[in-house]
Amino acid sequence: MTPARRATFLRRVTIVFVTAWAVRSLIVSGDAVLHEHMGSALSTSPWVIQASAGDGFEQSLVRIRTSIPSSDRVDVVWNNPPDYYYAYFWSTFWLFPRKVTVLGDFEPAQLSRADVLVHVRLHNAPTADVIGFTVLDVYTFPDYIVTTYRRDG
Amino acid sequence: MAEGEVALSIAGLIGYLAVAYVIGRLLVGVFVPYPSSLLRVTSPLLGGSALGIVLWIYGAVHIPWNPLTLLLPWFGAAIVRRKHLLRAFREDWQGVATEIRFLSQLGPLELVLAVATVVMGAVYLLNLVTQPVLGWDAIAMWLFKANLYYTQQAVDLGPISTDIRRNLDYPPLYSLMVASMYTITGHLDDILGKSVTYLFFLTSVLGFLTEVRGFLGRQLALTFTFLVAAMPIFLPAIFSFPYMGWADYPVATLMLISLLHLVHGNRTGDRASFSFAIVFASLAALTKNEGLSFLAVILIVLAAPSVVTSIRRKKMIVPSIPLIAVVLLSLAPLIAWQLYLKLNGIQSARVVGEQSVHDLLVLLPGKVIATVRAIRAQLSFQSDYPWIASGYILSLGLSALSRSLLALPLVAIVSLQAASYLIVYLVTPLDINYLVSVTFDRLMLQLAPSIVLLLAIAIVPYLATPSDRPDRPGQMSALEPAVRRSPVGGEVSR
Repeated sequence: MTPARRATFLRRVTIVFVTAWAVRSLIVSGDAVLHEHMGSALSTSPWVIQASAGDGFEQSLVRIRTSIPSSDRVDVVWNNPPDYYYAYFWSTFWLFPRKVTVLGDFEPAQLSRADVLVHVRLHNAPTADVIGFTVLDVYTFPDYIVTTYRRDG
Repeated sequence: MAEGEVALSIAGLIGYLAVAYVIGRLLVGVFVPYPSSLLRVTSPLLGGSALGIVLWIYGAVHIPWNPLTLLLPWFGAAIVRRKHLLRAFREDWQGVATEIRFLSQLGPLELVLAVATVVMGAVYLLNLVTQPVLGWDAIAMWLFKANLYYTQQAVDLGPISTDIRRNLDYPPLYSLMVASMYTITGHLDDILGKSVTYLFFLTSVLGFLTEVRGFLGRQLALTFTFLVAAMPIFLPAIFSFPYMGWADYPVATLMLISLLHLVHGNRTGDRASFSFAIVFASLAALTKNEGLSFLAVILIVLAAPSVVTSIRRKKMIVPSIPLIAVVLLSLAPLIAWQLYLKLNGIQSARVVGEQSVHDLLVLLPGKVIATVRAIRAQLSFQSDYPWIASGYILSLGLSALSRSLLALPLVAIVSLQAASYLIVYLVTPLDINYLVSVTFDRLMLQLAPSIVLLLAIAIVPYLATPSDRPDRPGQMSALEPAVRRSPVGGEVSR
């Protein structure tokens, strides 16, 4: 093959490849865009969408953050989270700048330092009756029940 | 009203982009009296980065973070440099008008790609301001740190110094840019904050198109640009939510823009371009640690011709003073960050672990097999990976056959950057299956735009027909001779 013919061949191969790649991208990305609900994205508050995204724990945090003072110290009590760091990072992010501690159980020594408790449990787990705290809110989701308690007095 | 909220968020983002643009043009005007089109188009990213770095400085000297303190100095600078700024705005407006006229000359396929790019861009903008924050790294690291910095009005990791899983050693630029959005808008809004990523999208796509039109025909330039704008691998970062608010896409675009400036410098001999290649590489290093290896590779590739020439001539080539100044200014924030980590006892993530070199070599064959298996488990023909890999292999082949002086530096840089990722896989003490499963897609995302550019450069020596030639006469003659000039500049010392 002469250099000129080789150059022509390679140019054509590359152009075909790049065009195919672009068409494939247009189909895949275009399909994603066409399935986008633009109308609801424009007409729904982003924070409404945020408050209904993720699992029950995540959704509850978005609501709790607007219902307790930003200076409160918060204990998140979750007996068996799917991942400790999920509970920790999500709590500390959504409840920021509050000081947050994640516990596996109600520990009296730790609870004495908290202003608010956030108890996460499954539907078949018993409710908690915490001495010195009053129920503030109960958030019920298909996967979890999240109860917030405020320290008495 | 919900529509009002979304409109306000979009207005906030557009306002941020406008501020970044003005600051970027101001900064560029100080250093380069007559900037190239590429530099003009990519200057907003310099402006956005400057806003973040200024907040960092403010935090160190206890200046409050609010819209007045952040924007007033730039407003003052704009007044002082108003003639230059007005000239810059006129130039850019003429450029926009030229592009609009250019649109009317497009053929059917080109028009489809152009319209698709614009539509995708508009949808990305909408999603970045409306989609919820759900991604792990956004919540654990990038946006959390933005909230921390904004609340304490300083870059201080003290309150979270025991949270080692937050990757405390990761540089602060992206989080600072998010915090600058909060500062300008006057309140902390996590959903809106992540939309700073749009600045990276806009700058990279426009910069790419601006540069490749200098050496590719219209249709090819638009085709390649569409890839940079709409490859499915980018969707999780700018369209759907998994990677929204993460720093991998910003790093990918900063690396691309650095390479665009490098290519521009090699094509035209414009030495300022080499300086800005280093600036954008430094910004990549200030965004994620993967940028550090990229910066090192860029510096090596830029310095290599001068070192070789020095050895051949047995005389030292002294870099030009402006280039030294740019390199030092670019490295200053990086050095400041490393000093901050050292002084506060924050350790970087251990790549190598406790293993000795002997242990590493003994384990190497097994690690290679394990890494290949782990990567193969990630591969899917439904993903972009086969296309990206094929694009890279095709670029290598085209460059090897043509021995193009334009392509070879890019081949070296992209290959060395990919090799650095592979080396981490081979030496990591972590479980390789776990590491590959959580990082492979994001590392490929980081490399993807650079590989598209590499392919665009690699095809250039094979373009021969009139329809392949660029629109602007005289550009072809700029392709090769400029490469032989030393990017470092200066005189051979006597």
